[in-house]
Amino acid sequence: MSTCPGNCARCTLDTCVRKASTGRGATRGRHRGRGPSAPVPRDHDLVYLYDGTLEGFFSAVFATYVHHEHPCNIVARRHLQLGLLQGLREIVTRQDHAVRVHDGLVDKLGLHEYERIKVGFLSDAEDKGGIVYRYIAYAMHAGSWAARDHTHPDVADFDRIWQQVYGERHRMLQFARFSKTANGVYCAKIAPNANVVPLMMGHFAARFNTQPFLVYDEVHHIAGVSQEGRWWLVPTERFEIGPLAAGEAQVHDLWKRFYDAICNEERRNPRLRMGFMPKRLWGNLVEMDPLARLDTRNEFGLARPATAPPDGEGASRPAGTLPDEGELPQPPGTLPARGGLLGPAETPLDESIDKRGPAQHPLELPADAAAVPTPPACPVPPALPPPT
Amino acid sequence: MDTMTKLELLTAAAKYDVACTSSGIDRDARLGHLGSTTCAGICHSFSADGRCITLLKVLLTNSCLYDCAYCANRRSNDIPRVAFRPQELAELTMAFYRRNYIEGLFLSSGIVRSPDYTMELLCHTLSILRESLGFEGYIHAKAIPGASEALVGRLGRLADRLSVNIELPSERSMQVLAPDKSHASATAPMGIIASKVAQDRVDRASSRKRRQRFAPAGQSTQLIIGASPETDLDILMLSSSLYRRFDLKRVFFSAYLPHNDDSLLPGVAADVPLEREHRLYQADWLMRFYGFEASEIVDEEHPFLDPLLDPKVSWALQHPELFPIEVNTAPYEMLLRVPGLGVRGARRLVRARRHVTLSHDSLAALRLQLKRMQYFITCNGRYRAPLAFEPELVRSRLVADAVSARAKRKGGLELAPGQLSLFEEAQPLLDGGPDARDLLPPEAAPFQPFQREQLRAFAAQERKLASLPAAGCMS
Repeated sequence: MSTCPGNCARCTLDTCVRKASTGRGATRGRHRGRGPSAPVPRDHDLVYLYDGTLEGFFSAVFATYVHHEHPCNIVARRHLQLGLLQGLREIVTRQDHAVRVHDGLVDKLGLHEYERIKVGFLSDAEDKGGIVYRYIAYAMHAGSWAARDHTHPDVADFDRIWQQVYGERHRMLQFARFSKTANGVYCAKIAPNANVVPLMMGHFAARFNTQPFLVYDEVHHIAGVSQEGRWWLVPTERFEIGPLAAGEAQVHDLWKRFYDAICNEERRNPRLRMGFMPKRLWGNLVEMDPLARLDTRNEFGLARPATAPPDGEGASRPAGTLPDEGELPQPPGTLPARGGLLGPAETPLDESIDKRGPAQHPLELPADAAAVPTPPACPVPPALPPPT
Repeated sequence: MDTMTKLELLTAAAKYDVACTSSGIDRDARLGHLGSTTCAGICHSFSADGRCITLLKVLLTNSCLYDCAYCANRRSNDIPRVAFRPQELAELTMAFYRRNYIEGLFLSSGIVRSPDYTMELLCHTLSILRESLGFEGYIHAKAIPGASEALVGRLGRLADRLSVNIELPSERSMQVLAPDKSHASATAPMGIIASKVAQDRVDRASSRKRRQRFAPAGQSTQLIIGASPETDLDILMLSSSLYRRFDLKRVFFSAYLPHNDDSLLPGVAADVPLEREHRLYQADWLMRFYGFEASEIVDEEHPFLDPLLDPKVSWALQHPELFPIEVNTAPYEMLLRVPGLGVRGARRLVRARRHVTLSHDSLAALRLQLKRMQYFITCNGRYRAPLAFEPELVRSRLVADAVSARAKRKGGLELAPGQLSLFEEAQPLLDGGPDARDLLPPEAAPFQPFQREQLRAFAAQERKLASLPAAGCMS
């Protein structure tokens, strides 16, 4: 006859009272106050409609408690697609309701969980409203300990969308490329599959606190603007980056040259690259620009090996020769004389570099393009303390 | 000589050094200074060979005194020799950094005039970056073997990570291929760096003043695979002793790319040992994150790693008495040894089993890949896998999976419509005890259509397997 092993993880009894009461399995004495762990019910005939903001979403969550309902999804107006026989409840955004939900979440689950909920809310998934709502409802009902049970379906769903958003944020930190415009602002355009600009700006604002910059999300129509370590979000439908700074094209070319030169041709593996850097991101990457490859590639599209061409042939000034013809070759282990390290200091890179005409780059518009429009007037946020 | 050409030449010269991570140190930004670092590192791009680009990886100059046989920049090679000016390189780094192309700079150099002189040039460049331009991003610098201790100290205060490449895994290979260097000349600066890093940790603990740290992201090194005849056993033993002696963060393995025509080296047409490099990295991960010892992965009887199975599966199949393990009760160290279960998966599993008894469905809810794990675990006593746990059967199934995955990656065979590829996977079962090499799809083999007899034999084999006693509760 088997007896209670004292450790619910090892229990094989089917008649355990603890198991019966929870209906799921292992529980320990200190979870006495945990409550039922059943998944939050869904009423497939009911959908809530809100305005797309976080306050609106929290008002919708508040409304579910008021009306004792469990909508299967909570959607913003622009994504609404009602199924047959589905009922709709429109939610009015109320600040006091939203604040009550916020306070309840922070009190019961803590600030860290609340931040995770905000990150999950930024997802673009169709059913994100329903997923986040069910996670909130389950966590509030079952407690913060149960909210960390990743095998529970509501928690597992939320975990999945949180991971998608956070992964997209990391990808945008990796692949956002800035270009200097004529007025000195560094601009980047991104096309993420989640609304991650609010999550990126802290990192960039601290790192690039010495330069004004702007990140424009062309899918979600929101721009993050930063200067001297402080940052703001500016929703804007359209945004055109103005003319690029003089010398910007040369920096783009330098980067492309570097990108091509660093590849080991014997290990060429485009599939591996695509696994890390999917093609959907290539549109905004300077180095993947198919235009303006310059003369770095031979007729097969492979990078030129870095060897000097034979004497009497080749480019006008073969690589490796010095401006003064007739100089003796340098002995090994010494610096090239003219390209050496002891020459006079050069002027800054952006201005003095090789004077070629600017190559056409996707970010660079023709000269008669509209200037950068001023963003719509928005209330100036209070001054933030400088980052430590 | 313009910056564009210099950049291209010196990048092409530096690309053989595979160490390119920007990890190991979390440094917050400072107002008025450009830059910060993150502990995990950020890969900003991926080159066409699939490797990550996170730092501006260049040589300061490719002019070199030495004549190491394996090096593209050796003094007997006829290549154009160029050099950056320190100011030029520092400004190039800043220009790329501002545009979020890179996390920082990776700076190495050919040996010019003497090791000390080269180190002084490196220090000069880095001090322009750090002190004049106020750069707070990541810097990985190569310390030159043979340099003085004071210069190594100065370089470490400017850089975040230092490294000294050992390149050749044994002293004998070094004498043959790089007579100007020796193992001692490489390990001496590594010892200096290790002791200074340790000293710096002690000083930081005892003093509150903000001071420049010495190589806060530690040090690393590189070994070339395939240029010399060492076995995987030699390489892994050396690697684990380096980790112990010098407290290294990483040992990198670089498959030898044949570009020098030299009688001492594999010919120019030789294969690049990518598979071997991959297995060595897997073994290195096992040693660093999964608690394996080098002697468990390779030994005198099996001095090379299996090319078709990863080292973790090989080890598990050599110790069948330990498996299958019960996921609800096994200790974390044992869970790490389950093939198909990584560090994150094991952590998720351990956290989840505090809440609930795990079943196969809950493992799926935790997003764990059961494809390989299923043979080595039981959930609450239940074993759910297509095959009973017999090492030979599991081995042949996993080898068949690996072969078909590889064929699929390489474009697969041409299948006529309506014909299944099931037959490919069934072959190992028909042969009974396959040799791993036989299963590699030969390049010129035409696709074999189904034969009636083979179909019948396949069906008979399946029936035989199904009739094996199902593995019951392993109590």
